[in-house]
Amino acid sequence: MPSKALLTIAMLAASASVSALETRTYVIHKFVHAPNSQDGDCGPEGPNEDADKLYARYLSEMGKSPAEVKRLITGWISGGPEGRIVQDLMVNRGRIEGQPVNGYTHPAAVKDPQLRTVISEYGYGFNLDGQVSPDDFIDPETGEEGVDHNMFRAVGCNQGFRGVPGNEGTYWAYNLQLTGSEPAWLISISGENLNEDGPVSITFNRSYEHLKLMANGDPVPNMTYRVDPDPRSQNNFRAHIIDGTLRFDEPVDFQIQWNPLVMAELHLSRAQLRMTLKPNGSLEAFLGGFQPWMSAYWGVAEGGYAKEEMVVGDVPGLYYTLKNLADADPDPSTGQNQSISATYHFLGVPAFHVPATSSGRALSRAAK
Amino acid sequence: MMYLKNLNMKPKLSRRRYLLGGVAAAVLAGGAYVILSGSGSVSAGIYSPGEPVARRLSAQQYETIITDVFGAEIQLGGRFEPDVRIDGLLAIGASHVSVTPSGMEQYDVMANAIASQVVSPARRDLLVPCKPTAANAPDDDCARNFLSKVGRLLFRRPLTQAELQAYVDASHAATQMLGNFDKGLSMSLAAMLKSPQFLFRQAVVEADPDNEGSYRLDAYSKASQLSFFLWNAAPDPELLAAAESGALHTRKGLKQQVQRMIDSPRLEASVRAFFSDMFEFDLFETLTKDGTIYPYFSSQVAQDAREQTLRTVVDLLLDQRADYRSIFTTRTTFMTQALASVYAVPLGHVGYNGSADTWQPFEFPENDPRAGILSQVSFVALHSPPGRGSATLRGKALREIMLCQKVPPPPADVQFDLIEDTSNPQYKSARERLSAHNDNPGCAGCHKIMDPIGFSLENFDGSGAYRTTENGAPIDASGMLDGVPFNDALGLGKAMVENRATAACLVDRVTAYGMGRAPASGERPWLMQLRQDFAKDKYVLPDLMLRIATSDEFYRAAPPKPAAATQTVMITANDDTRLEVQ
Repeated sequence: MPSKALLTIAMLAASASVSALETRTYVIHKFVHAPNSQDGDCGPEGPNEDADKLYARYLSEMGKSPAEVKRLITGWISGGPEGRIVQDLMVNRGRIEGQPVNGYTHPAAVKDPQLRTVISEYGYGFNLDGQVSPDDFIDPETGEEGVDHNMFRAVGCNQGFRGVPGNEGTYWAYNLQLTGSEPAWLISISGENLNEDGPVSITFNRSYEHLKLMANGDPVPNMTYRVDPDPRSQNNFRAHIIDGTLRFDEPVDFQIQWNPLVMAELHLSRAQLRMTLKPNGSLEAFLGGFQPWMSAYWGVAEGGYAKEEMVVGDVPGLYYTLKNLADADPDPSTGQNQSISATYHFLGVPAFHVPATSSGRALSRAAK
Repeated sequence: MMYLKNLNMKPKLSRRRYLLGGVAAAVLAGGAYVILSGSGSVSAGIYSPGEPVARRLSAQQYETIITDVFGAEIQLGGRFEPDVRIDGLLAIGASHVSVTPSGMEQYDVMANAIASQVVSPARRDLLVPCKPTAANAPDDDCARNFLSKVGRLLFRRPLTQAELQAYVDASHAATQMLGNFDKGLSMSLAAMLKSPQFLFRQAVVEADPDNEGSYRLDAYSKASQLSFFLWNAAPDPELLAAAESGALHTRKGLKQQVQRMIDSPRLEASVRAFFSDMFEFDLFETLTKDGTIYPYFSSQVAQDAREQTLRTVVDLLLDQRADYRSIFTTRTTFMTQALASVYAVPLGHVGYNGSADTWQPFEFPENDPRAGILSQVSFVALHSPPGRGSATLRGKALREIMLCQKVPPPPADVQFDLIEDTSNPQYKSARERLSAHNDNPGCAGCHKIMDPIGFSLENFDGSGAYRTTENGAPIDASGMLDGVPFNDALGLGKAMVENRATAACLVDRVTAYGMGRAPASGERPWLMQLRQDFAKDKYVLPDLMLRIATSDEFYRAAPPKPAAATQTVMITANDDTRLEVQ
């Protein structure tokens, strides 16, 4: 598909300030957290414990004898009746006034396990706060310093979150399985000539339709998606293409409805973007900003025990790392930061966008 | 529809029926001949019709008959043998096929399945018009009542007394054996469903009283010829009644029936069946694309591509009564989401409740490089190998399918290596590869009548998707058809409109489709007249079908050849049905 042929309907009007002679429209087929896991980035002890060791330790702390711990864990691993016992104990390992409570829904009722966090020098993202501090990362692609990406630091030592863009951890592989059953995200870019540097406008929306996939798991190109007019998923920003990279003109507040099994809504304040429009018609981008850390936690915790034992590791422990590493938006009364810096990586392929009430007659790509 | 449910009339049995039910019968009735084979060889004369043919029911026809007679809920529970294409049509191949042992097994399976469903408690009271005096004992009157009615619909004529008695006797015997009237009845019904009288559309020829020395189809064969031609279905009760009363042999009666059928929505079924046949859409059943090259070309795309062209044709030729040739230039069509992805066009979602899978009308704009069915996926992808496009195959298909011309097969020692090497840096485009291939004089002769046509479709890759380059080289889509040059697929479409063979081919194909055989040489004058009339009628397809269906020539037949018409049919009203045709 020639890139020049990506002209399409312009019902999604570009910003009035941008001369929109060309509009390219895409559907996002992968939107995942952008870790940069490397050997040794969790210190000499390595990443945090997997569930078997984690649960063995908790059982021991609960007063179980070594033999009892071994019996329970062995039975749990082999699918025996001990599994139910272990599950009940782990789910209800929180304590409020001495009484067991669900540790996932009451993470503060579980003692902070002091999970290890990432100590690496390099992490994807942006300098969101304008400061360069020793705790910040350096972006491995751009070399930008002062990169704020504490989400990576907080979760990056749990096995389910470890990976690199293009080869993400189990947690995101799980979430990516949902893309065929959740409304797709759409991007529209308008400008005078998108092959050259200059001002553009960019919109992010959600679709009524789910992402359409081919038998090989890749997205079907050139599918048509209706734009959901829900105000919670409307994003229209000014940007520039400079040296082939598209960036917002200024930090933006980004919001879009997501999947309740991941995050009901994604909010990124002071968000920054860098995006490349590729010759084959696809796009690749990083989007970073500050997001409420509690919604990130609930995205993990909603799966409770199942997610903990199979994917993410210590869930209440993640509550503490997210809370402790939250780096923006302090609560006026407590001083506790409400947001954590995060960066997401995403890919898109050409798609058509139509209003929800489209008549269906429009130009083909080949019609110049 | 369920004709059986609506039938209350008593069948009048013809005195001139001759297929026998029972154990075995050699059939050759005086004054009428059952034709089970024949060819179009006709002696010269002012008007010499071809020999009529017997045709095996197509899968669609079989299913339609069962639906019409017993209801759409009946499950066939079997599969059909593949059809054979002869002279460009499966409809002609249907008169050259027999039934293999494996095919007979399938007919047997389906017949038993259908029969047991008909007499099942859920349907029996609806479909069987009587109840036996005792559920576990024979009741010949009730069996006769049912079998005569259903037999008339399935055989497309009344049963002879002997046939009916044989089926009643078989039902009687089976009931005694099984101790259940309905089961016994179903055995006879199953025997009917696997009999040649049902499975083959037989042509019965009689002397034409209005033209001494000439022969014509008898009234019931005429009704069948007409019904399968216009509805792709067996005659309905009204048409059978017209045959029975003799009205169908009158000009007024024939016109009345033809007009009724032309005006019916059921005409669409026949138009679809005809174009599916003419356009060789049976190839979709085995169409495959290389998933690594065209991962988006799913079975849904293939299914929708076939349907898209049929919808385009039906809309233009039936609903709009447009010039047949406009199918090569039309910008209006229908689209689904799966197809829109291949065409790279946006598609609004206007289905019920926002359904994304509904068909929607679509119009390619004036400046779009696509127009006409030749640029649709059903042509460019269907006539391409799995991993690339093919100017040669497309050119060949256009000549043979759309222009009724024959292209000789390639020589046995032809080398395809160069053509198939799509990554050859020296020959990036198909035009370059074919040019090099045609350095061989043995190849060039045929390629020159195919490739110049196919080059104009090179903007469409093997999946039908639009492209402007191949391996980085710009595509030159200029081409030529019978001396008329053009720049691209749009030009090819216009050249097809102007080509005299386009409309003539359709006339020939429609006529052959209706008769089940290629027109005989003695029928050329009639064909020539039809071609002229088609032009006079502004190339409107239903008008052509009406002219054919009301032509005496459509029902005329060569004098019967008794020696060639001999057949032996063995029918037993139990599971051991055997069919022998000699």
